[in-house]
This record gives sequence, C-alpha cells and structure tokens, in this order.
Amino acid sequence: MESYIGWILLVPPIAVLLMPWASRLGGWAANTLAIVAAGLPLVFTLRLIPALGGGLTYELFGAHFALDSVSLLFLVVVNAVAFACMVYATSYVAHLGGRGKFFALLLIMVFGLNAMLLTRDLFSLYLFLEVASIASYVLVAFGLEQDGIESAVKYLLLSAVATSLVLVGILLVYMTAGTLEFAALGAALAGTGGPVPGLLLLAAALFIAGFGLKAAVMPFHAWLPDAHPSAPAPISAMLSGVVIKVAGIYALVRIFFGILPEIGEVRTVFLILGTLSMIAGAVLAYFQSDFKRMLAYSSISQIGYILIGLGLGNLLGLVGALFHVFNHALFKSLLFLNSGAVQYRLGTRDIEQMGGLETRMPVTGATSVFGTLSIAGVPPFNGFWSKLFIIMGALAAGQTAIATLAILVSLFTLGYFLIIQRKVFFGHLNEKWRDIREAPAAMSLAVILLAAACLLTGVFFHSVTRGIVEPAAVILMGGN
Amino acid sequence: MESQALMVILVPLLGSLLIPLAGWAGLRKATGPMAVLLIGCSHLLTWPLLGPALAGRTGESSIPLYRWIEFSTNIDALAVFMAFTASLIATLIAVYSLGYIEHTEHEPEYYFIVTLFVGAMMGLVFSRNLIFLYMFWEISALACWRLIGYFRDPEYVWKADKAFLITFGGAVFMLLGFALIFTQYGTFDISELRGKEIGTAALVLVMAGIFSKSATVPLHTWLPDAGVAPSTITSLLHAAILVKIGLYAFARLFCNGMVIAPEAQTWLLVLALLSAFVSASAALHETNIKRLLAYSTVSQIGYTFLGLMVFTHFGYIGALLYIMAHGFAKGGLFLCAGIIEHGTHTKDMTKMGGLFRKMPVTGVSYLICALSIAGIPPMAGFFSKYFVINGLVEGGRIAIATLAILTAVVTLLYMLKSFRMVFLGESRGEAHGEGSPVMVGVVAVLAVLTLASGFLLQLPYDLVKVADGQRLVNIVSLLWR
Amino acid sequence: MLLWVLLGLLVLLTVGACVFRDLLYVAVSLALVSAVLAGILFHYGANIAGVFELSVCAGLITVLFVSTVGMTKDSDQGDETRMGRGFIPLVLLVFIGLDVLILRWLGSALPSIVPGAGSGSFQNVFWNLRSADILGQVVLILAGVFGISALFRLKVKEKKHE
Repeated sequence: MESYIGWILLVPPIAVLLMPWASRLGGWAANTLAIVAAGLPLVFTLRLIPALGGGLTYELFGAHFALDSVSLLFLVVVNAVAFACMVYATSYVAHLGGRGKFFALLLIMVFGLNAMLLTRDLFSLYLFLEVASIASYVLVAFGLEQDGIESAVKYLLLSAVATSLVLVGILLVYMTAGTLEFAALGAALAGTGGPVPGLLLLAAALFIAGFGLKAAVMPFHAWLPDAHPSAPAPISAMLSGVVIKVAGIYALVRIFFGILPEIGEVRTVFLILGTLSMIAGAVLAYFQSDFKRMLAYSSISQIGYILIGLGLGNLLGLVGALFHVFNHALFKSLLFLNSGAVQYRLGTRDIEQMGGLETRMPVTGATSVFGTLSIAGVPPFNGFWSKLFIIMGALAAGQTAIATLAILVSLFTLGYFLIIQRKVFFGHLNEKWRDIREAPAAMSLAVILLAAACLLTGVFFHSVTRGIVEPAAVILMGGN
Repeated sequence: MESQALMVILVPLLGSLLIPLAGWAGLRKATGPMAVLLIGCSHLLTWPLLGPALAGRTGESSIPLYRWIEFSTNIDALAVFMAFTASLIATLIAVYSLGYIEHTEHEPEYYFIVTLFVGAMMGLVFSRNLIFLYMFWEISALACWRLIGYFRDPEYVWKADKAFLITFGGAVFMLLGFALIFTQYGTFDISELRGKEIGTAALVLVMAGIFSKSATVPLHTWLPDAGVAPSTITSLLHAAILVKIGLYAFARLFCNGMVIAPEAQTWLLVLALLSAFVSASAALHETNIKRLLAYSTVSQIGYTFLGLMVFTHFGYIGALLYIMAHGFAKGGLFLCAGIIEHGTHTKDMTKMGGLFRKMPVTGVSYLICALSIAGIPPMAGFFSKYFVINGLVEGGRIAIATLAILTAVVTLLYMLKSFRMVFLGESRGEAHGEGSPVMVGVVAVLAVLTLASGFLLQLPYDLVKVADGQRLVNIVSLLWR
Repeated sequence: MLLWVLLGLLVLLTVGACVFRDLLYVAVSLALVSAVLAGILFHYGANIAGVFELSVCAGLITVLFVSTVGMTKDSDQGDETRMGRGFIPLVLLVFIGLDVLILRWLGSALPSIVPGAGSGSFQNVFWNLRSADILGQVVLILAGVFGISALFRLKVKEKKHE
C-alpha cells in the first residue's frame, strides 16, 4: 500500500519525460499518456482511502514522505480535478497548439501539488510549491495572447513576493527551532510553554501574508481576477479549484494547526480576512460581465468561507472548511470548464452577447445549473452541506454576526449566478449563435463527471464527511 | 406504514430522474405519461396510509446520517392528509398537462421538474428533521424557478429569478432560525422540539421563510409575477404544492411543535389578516385573469393562516379543510384560465366576454370553483371558512373575525366580477371553443371534487379531526409539564 | 583568499547578468551567481543554507521570468529556440546529466575547500538529509525546460501566421 504513495509522486514526472516522444507519435498517443498519467494517481489515491488507518510513511530514494488524513483529503481533491481537467484538455488544447507541452506542464503542476501534500518538511513544501507555481505561470500564458502574458507576469510578480515572505518565515522558524521537519518542529516549538516568542509571531504574520497571497485572500487578491480568467479553461479550473487551496489553504492549515504553537490572534485574523473576502468577493463578482472574471471573484468569496471555518476553532467549523475545500474544487472547476466550453464555441466571454445557449449546448447548460446550485448552497448539492457546517460552527462559536453574513452572502451568490444563468443559458437563443454546437465529447464528459460528483457528494455527504473530512479535521484539532 | 411513506417520497423523487434520460433517448412522447404514472403512483401509495391515519396511528422512522442530521420521517394524520390532497391535485394537473404542454420546446424538462416538485412536496410533508424539511423546501424552490421561466422570454426568466431569490432568501433566513433553535435546544428533530418555546429572533427568521414561501404580504410580490408560467404550473404552485408548503410548515412547526409567545401570536394574526385583506382589495382592481387569481390566493392563504394561528379546535380544523378546499377550487380555476388563455390568446379580461356559450363546461366549473373560494354553501369553501371564523371567535379574537368576514365579502365581489367579465355579456375578442377533452375533463373533475367535498364533508372532516386530536395531545402534555 | 575570489566572481557575474543582452548569457551568469553564492555560504559553514540556495535553482526561476517579460516586448529571439525545438528530449537529458555531474563535483570538491565544516558536509546534506528536494529540483528543471519551450512556441506559431 505504501508504494502507492511513490507511484502517486512518480507517475506524472515519468509521463512528462515520455511526453515528447508520445507527441511525436501523434495526438492520440499524447492524449492517452496524459489521461493515464492523470488517472493513475487518482486511482492510487482512492485506493489509499480505506488503507490509511493512522497514517502511512514512505521512503523514496532516501527521501521521506508521509500521508495522513489531511493530506489524503487534499490529494483526492487535486487528483480528481486534475483528471477531469486533463480529459477536458485533450479536446480543448486543439485550438492552442503545443499539445505535448501543455500536458507536460499540467502534469508537472500536478506533481508539484501532490508532492507538497506528501512532504513532511517545511522547506520541501516551499520547493514543491515553486514547482507547481512555475508550471502555472507558463500555463496561464499558454494561450500566448497579450492579456494572458500580462496577467502571467502579474501573477509571477505577486507570487514572487509571496514566496519571499514565506521563505523569510521559514528562515525565522529554522532559527528558532533548528529543524524544518514537521513532527520535530511541532515538538520543538510546543515545548516552550510560555508566551510565544516574537520571532515566531513575525513568522506567523509572514506565513499569513505569503500563503494568503497564494490563496488570494482579500487584501492580497489582486492577481487572481486577472490570472484565472485569461488562462486556458482547464488551467483556470485547476488554479481556482485546486492550486489556491493547496498552495494557500493547505499550507496555512499545516503551519497553524500542528507546527506553530497556538496563537490566539491568528484565529481572529482568519475570521476577519475570511469575512472580508467572503463579502467583497461576492460584491465584486456581482458587477462583472466577463463570465470567467465573475467566477474568479466568486472564488475569492468562497475562499473567505473556508477561512472563516478555519478561524472558528471548533471541530464543526473545521469540518465545514475542509468539506468546502473539497466541494469548491468540484463545482468551481465545473463552472470554469463550462465557461471554457462556451468560450471555445463562441469565442467570447462577454455574457451580454450570449443568451439561451442551453438549447444549443444542453450538456454545458445542464451541468452549469448543477454548478450554480452547488455554489449557492442549494440542497441537496454539496455546497449546501459545507456551508451549513460552517454556519453551525459559527453559531456554536458564538459568532452570530458572521453566521448571518454567511447566509446573506450565499443569497447574494445565488443572485449573481442567476444572472449568468439568465444571460447565458436560460432564455431565448440569441440569433447570432444559431449554428453553435455542443462542445466536443471529451469536454462534455469532463463536465458530466464533475457535475455528477457535485450531486453525489451532496446526496451522500455523510459518507464523504465521515470517510475523509472528519478524520482530517480531528487531526487538526488534536494538533492544535 | 413507514416504508409506505418512504415509497410515496422516493417514487416521484428518484423516478423523476428517469424522465430526462427518456428525453435524451428520443422518447419525448413517453415523458408525459411517465410523469403521470409516477405522480399517480405516489398518490395511490398514500391510500393505504389513510386507514391507519384515520385510526389515529402514527409512525416514525429514522436513518442517522451525520451528527444531528438524520433522514427521519413522521407519519400522522396531518402528514397523510397533506400528502393525499397534494398528490391528488398534482395527479390531475399532470393529466391536464398532457393536453396543455404538448408541442412546447422543452417537454422532457417540464415533466422532469414537475415530478421532482411533487417528490419534494411529499418529502417535505413526511420529514421530521428540520434540515431535511429545509432541503425539500429548496428543491421545490429550484423546481419553481425552472418552471416559471419555462417559456424563456427574458421578462419571464427575470420573474423566475425573482421568485427563486425571494423564496431562497426567506428560506436561508429560516435555516438560520433553525440553527438558532438548535443552539438553544440542541436538536433538529421536530418531535423533540414539541412544546419548547421558540425565541423571538428565531421566530422572526422562521416566519420570514414561511411567509416568503406562502406569499404573504409583504413578501408576496413574486406570486402574481409567477403567472407568466404555463397555467398548469401556476395551478400547481397555487393549489397543490408551493404556497401550501408554508401553511404546512406552520402547522407542523407551531401547531404541532414549538410554542409561540402570546404577544407574537397577536402580531402574526394581524399580519395574516392584513395580507388577506390587502390582497383581496388588489384582486378587486386586477383585470389580468391570472394575476387576479394569484392575488386571490394570497388572500386565501392569509385566511388559512388565521385559522392556524389562533390555535383553537375550530380554527385548526377549518384551516386544514381550507387547504384542501382551496386546492381543489384554485386548481380548477387556474386550469380554467389555461383553457381560456388557449382559446382567446390573452390573459386580459377586458378583451374576453360571452365565453359561456363557447365553453359551457369550463364556465360551469369556473363558477363552482369561484363560489367555493368565495365561501358560498354548499361548497367545501363555505364550511372551512365558517370553521375558521368560528375558531377566531372561539379564541376570543372577535375584531379579527369581523374583518375576516368583510374579506370574504370582498372575495365574493371580485370572483363574481371575474366570472361576469369572462363568461357573460358580449364577446369582445376572438374566441375558439373548449380545450381538448383531457383538459376539460380534468377541470370538470376538479369542479366535481369541489362540490363533493362540500356534500361529503364528513370524510375529510374525520381525518382532520384526528389531526386536531393529535395536536391537542401535544398541548395537553405541555400543560402537564 | 578563496573567499575573496568567490566574492569577486559573484560581483562580476551579477554585473554580467545585468549587462549581457543575450538571454542565454544572462541565464548562465545568473545560474553561476547562484552556485558561487552557495560556495560562499559553505565557506562560512552554513552548509544547509548553501544547499538550499542551489536547490531552489533561483537562476532557473529568473530565466523564466526574464523570458516571460521578453515575450511581452517585440524581441527577435525566435531563431535559437527554433533550433532547439526538435531536440527537447535531448536538451532535457543533457540538462539533468549536467546538473547531476556538477552537483557530484561540488559534493566532492566543497568539503575540501572548507575543511572541518561540521557534520553537514555537502554530500551528506544534499544526498542524505535533503534528498526529497532532489526530486523537486529535477522536476523544477523539467518545468523550466517545458515552460521555455512552450512560451517560445509563440514565435514559431506567429511567424507561420504572418
């Protein structure tokens, strides 16, 4: 079983090495290789769920990797979304060119994220974060249009700021503890007992700012509404669905629940930043007329929900936050892939020019309804349950005001997603698009998979919660 | 009994998923009969529940899912009564749809959502856990969204969004209210909340949800706008499912469950009366037939709330009977409006007139249903209105009872006005004959049901009496505590 | 003495990175800056920091940055990359091979430069303590190679259009 961890790590890079030869053979070979390379880690991850127990460790050429429930939850998210995006990309990449390179970079990104989740060393976490980030910069610019390259540069600059902050933070931690290995760090820092040393407080602030930038939490969000929309659709889906969660939320969770000693103010900061992001993201999303920009702002808003759940400090809030990570990955990538399908056929992202597309693109239309209802938190879709847990957690923590705001924002979310539905899918067909066809089969298959996942994880929320979310939340509570 | 109730929920809920599949498989023609079959099955499955319910037996079942979330059901006379009435009307409307919705563009979607809608209603009626009550509540809201915008005109879709946003907004506040109740009592189980007093904040939040769903002034504006939906759907919304959800939730949560403080009760009664009276006046000035009927619904809902909120025997019995009587009559009226709209291609009553000769069956049915709503004996509407007013007097609310009678007079006025404008006098526009036999047949059946439920009032009365008995037990056990 | 040589090299290479107009030279000098810096860190006994410096491959990140910025301007760098287009797998292997060779050489050379630097000799630190980072580093180079090749695809494609 432990060897699965090695395969999860190694399959994508091996496929990357083979990719140049595969794309020589032809598009079909590159497609097959890419789908297999993205599918195998998913299969291994799913098979690890029942075998996990108290955690697994694995040694790869002397390098230590370990898996616990928290990593497993994020691994499932990463590989499930990556698989859907890869299936989608096999069709989508046709109009971009550079098929093999696209797949290779996407697989490198997946490797970086998986390795981040499996490593047990703060510096390695940083290194793998860079691996994933470099692949994402290039992928954002992959369309090679002016706005894509510009926003890639913006993304890169702000990420460079973020990673330098993180690096300084790591340095401070190393100065204090003399090690960077998670377990040893936790033990070394927890032993102090008294007030938290000033160096660690500074490090905590640097981590919040650095990883907050990566997660696009409100005051640090400026790059996201540019980078996510201008990227090719499967990359937008990966960035909004997965990368901000792993690079931002996962890192924050690892550091503040288990490594650094408990700092009371951090929770308050999470709550404030979370509430700010939740509200501002939704308000800004409301005024967008670009399909993907609206989705990008809504990601900021949903990250706010997750941060609130983390800041509540009770098990219910953590369950809600982690489940929302899972759910948001599914429905946000679904919506981005939908928007990509529309853009692929129409060549525009301006919702004012669309209308009644569901008659011509029934699969895209129907699955986008699933995504809309999930993100607005309409039961029985998955988004409802995670928001419910966050709200119940907020009430249990005595944060009635935040619970009320969370409820209001979910109403607001439904409001702006109904605008998308009304202007894009639901209504009379705009005559301009009379001859539009449904997106190609692979793209439709990917969105059907994600939409089904949204509904099924909603209906069987208890299996998901009990199976992979709650164990993770329990570990975080215990480590706190 | 428990598994029976589960079947009533699951047959339409899961069965509805087959309909779009059939649509994609090219069996468009089959989707209509499939929906009728599923909804009809669901209705037939409630028949065996009537016997035990009449005998006063109750049942409960529970599947724990996660922490305090359980899928639990509660089968008693109230639930069986609601399920029976709603599914009966829904079946008739589904049959009528076969004639009405044919040749429109999105037929499979229509039947899919309608069946899902009925399934949600059944689930809501039998739910014992507040979270699942909320869940079915929202499924019905999203069904309503797709159905109101069914004809896809920009204005229609906008109105569908409005309806969705108002009912969703009310419902999320209700959810917050439920959460507040949970923080106080630590449970979402309705039967465990029985006899507990609800806090003011939670009450306001829960009532926001109930009033938005049951279109009570000032949260009623979406309901007249929803008239842009196909007539079958407006009929379904008004008569069988949607607005009845709020009434049922009130009966379940407050008549059978939590206790409201007396001052709050007075406020609620005044709100309900206001809603009944204001919307009756609005109906008096309306010339669009579907909007007139919609305002009438708002008014009758207010009436029913009066019966429920006074917490007396007569009030409760009257309110439940009124849910049924209004369902049959208003369902019939909207289906009549559908036939009229098909025949004249307008909803404006000033362009109709003299239709009685061309549509005799529709005309007679319309008259019977309108008189039932207005409360003329021997129709069922009369008895239930009488019971409600009697209940108000029984509860010592004489002033409110007087104003309620005044509202009934206004109701008679606008109902007769609409009948005169549509069916009597000179013809003022084009008019074809009756609708298809299926459609006219269904309308006639509803008219007969309206009459029969008046003459044979004893049958529903017995069941409602049992429901009232079960309610009383709760209150008595509360007093003993 | 050695330290002064290294410091002088560092200054020279840094200036060079700013002065060179050819992207390739810029990249090479930046990578060398990184390597020399690591040497200096080792000289001071900060073995782990030195390894970090090398592992991050700061130079490579910068190359990507520079080339991305380069794309936004209308420069004429297409030729040299078109040449490499067909040899990507080969370039890749050479890259990795060189990398491993250089690190091996450093591994054997550095401890002798800095005698008695403590427990963490370069070899020990790099191959045993930080072995997870090697994997990361290899993939980082892969990302760089594929990234550059993907971005320079632009010029080729655009020229075809014209």
